[in-house]
Amino acid sequence: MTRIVITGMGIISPYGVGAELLWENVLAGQTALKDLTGFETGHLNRRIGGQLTNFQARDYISPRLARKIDRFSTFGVIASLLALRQAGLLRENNTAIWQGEENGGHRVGITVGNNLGGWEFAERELRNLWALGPRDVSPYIAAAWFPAAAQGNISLSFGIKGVGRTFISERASSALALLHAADALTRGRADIMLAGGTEAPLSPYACLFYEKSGQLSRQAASGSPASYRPFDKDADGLVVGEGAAFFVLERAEDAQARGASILAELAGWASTNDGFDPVRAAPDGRRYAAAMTRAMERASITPAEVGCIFAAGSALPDEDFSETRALHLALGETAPHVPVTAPKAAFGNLFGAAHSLDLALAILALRDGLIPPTLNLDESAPGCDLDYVSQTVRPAKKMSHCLVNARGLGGSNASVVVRKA
Amino acid sequence: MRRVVISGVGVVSPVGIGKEEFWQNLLKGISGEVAVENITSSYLFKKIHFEGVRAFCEASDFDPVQHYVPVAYHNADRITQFAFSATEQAMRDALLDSSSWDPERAGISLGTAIGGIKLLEEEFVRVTNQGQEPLRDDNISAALYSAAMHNSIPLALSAHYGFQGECTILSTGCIGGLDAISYAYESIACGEHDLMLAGAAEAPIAPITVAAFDIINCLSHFPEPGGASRPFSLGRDGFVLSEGSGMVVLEELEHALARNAPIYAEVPGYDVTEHAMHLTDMSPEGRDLARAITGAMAYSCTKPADIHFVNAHGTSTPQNDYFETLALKSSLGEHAFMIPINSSKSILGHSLAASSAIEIVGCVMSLQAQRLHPTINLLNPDPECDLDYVPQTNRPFAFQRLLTTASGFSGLHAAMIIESYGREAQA
Repeated sequence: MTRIVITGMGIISPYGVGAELLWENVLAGQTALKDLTGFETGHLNRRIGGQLTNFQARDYISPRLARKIDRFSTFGVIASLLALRQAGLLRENNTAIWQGEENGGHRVGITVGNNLGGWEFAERELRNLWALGPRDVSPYIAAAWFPAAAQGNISLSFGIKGVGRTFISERASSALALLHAADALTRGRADIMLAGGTEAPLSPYACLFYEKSGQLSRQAASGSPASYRPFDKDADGLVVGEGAAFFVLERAEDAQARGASILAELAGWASTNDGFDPVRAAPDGRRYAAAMTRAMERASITPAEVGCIFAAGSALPDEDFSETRALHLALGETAPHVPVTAPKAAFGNLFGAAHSLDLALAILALRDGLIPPTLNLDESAPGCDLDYVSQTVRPAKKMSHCLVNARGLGGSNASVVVRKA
Repeated sequence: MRRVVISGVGVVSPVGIGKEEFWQNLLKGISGEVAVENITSSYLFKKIHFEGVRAFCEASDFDPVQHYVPVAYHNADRITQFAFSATEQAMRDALLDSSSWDPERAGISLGTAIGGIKLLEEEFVRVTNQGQEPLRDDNISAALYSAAMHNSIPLALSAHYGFQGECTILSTGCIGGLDAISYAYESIACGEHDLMLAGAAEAPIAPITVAAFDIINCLSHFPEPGGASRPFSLGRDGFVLSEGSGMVVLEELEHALARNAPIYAEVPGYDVTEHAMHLTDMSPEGRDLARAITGAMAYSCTKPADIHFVNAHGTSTPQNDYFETLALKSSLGEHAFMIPINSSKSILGHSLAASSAIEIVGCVMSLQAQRLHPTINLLNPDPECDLDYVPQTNRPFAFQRLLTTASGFSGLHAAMIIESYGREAQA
């Protein structure tokens, strides 16, 4: 069976740019949730989020490009740049090593997870259209607004000319993007895949979309950064964050042949759907468990070899409960002994990029033998009876595998097994 | 690799809802265009004036009650209703009842570029007093999130039919339909699923969409609806925005045979490429589209002489039709001059992601009927588009294999090969 490895990752999180910055803050139990600033919030009831402030796109990309694209594409391009650089696939001028070569980039692909597209840009143009008229709409809107924009901008920036796909599966989007990248390598359709997710929903209209989704914590109306409380008895929904994470994936033999340093192995993956209700996840957790079971089977590991689980942890009480139930089904007798964490409580749920951020944290957790904590988990909710890693970091020196889960609205499930390099 | 067949189709289009009406009107070459003042699906066009853009292709006859939309979705967004209608048609067409398939081995992949923009724009215009005031939550629709989050559509389908395999949106702009079908094809071929519903839906006829495409000169300004979409014609000046949905049931061959399913056609291969040149333009000479076509032939072990007919992307923009012609010549060589090529968009307009899925339904009908629908409005061919585009009238044509293509923003190209399934092989 083809082995798939990760040779680079690039992260933009509410803490700032870079994987180590994310890791240090999450380990330190530092919350990134704060009052939203920089845009009109008078129409919103929930005014906190995992917002990246003090960020200058022009530190990484040309001001000309930054003006033409939405923030979610900007995040995607920069995270991709960092991932390609770490993988040793960039020249000093930040072009990819295949750019300008004959047939360059034909065997390189890109898969992107996203949820809402570029609404900061689209909303501005909606206003221009209706307040000023059709000729006052930006000529760049079509390339900025649609969810495929990030993929297109990444392809353009790095000469990626193979398979290119953008997945929308709500909070599981970036997991499906990663799965398809792994499949494309396994099936021989590409030699290098860039995969990840990006989301920038902190603008007036997009925030209202989320408020109307019914998924946001009501406590967030108080402005408390402790509003996002996965598996806690006072959990009542999530808090939204922004950012992006991208990974370079290759077949192990290719990565070894070019002398790349390997961050982790993507050992198993699977996705399922509940097919139960358009919004609510199935209470029995059966199909969610099936995704985990298949991912473990693919990785040829038993539940006892899972060192830690990164849960979807939406903090929607029904979902926390059914996720716990699914973990019981998938892990069986081992379930009570496997640590479960949802570090996104500290920085928000990034929806289309949520799974990618968790994957990055899992890779770092395996590297350092440390399980990052779930903030705000003071007392487990009834029925949530697993070994949750709450409040502070837990050492796990011998950890060899993490299970990284994703679950979107209506039970779009995905599960990935990451193996220590 | 396992063999994959198409065992059911469903379609919502400006020229017909349901495969028979759709196909008969394609054959007749009846344009689906209507004038902007006759648009009935959104009141917003009464409040805004577009200089120049006159023609749209609207599925004006669509009626959720009559066209198989479940009662729970009779007030849902137009795009969701389109998807339900086309899906229910495809499920019935494939003779799928709940006993004949395993829900855990059945998935959905759906393409859409824009999702529920109609509702999002109407609500924005209402609560901001036409963009004059800040946003406020003035009883804003509870459906706002499902309109903005495109996967709400396949999730609704999955829940309704109980599909428990993968459920996702492929958001690949104007190649979305072909891409979602090729994604499902490969998933079945590689053993991940036995049955998938795949296709696309789009309901993009909203002022913001028109503005977004018109500001970069993509839309036709032809004054007379009925003649605006004219692919490969001299003086073509852009595409005509359209709407609809095309869905197909894709099934692993043995699975289809075991339940004695109707088999329309077999999919032997596809390819998708990116050109990485420009966000909204094509690459020079259509070379990356040619690479997708070559890739699809390699995937399906066919050579140019095996391609009997091409259903082109044919948008009616000056750039696309010329570059697509070049791409066909460079990938098929001299053979490109010997085979018929048509553009469904001459009749249906361009429904973004949905168009390539609707066109695949048309391709399947064509293969069944052994007849090609015409490319209409092709009275004055562009001398640089010098292939046989089946101008003006349909024709009988005995063939076994076709190529269909799509291109879109973000530098995307897709090509798929579809062939008749040999019934004799069963005996």
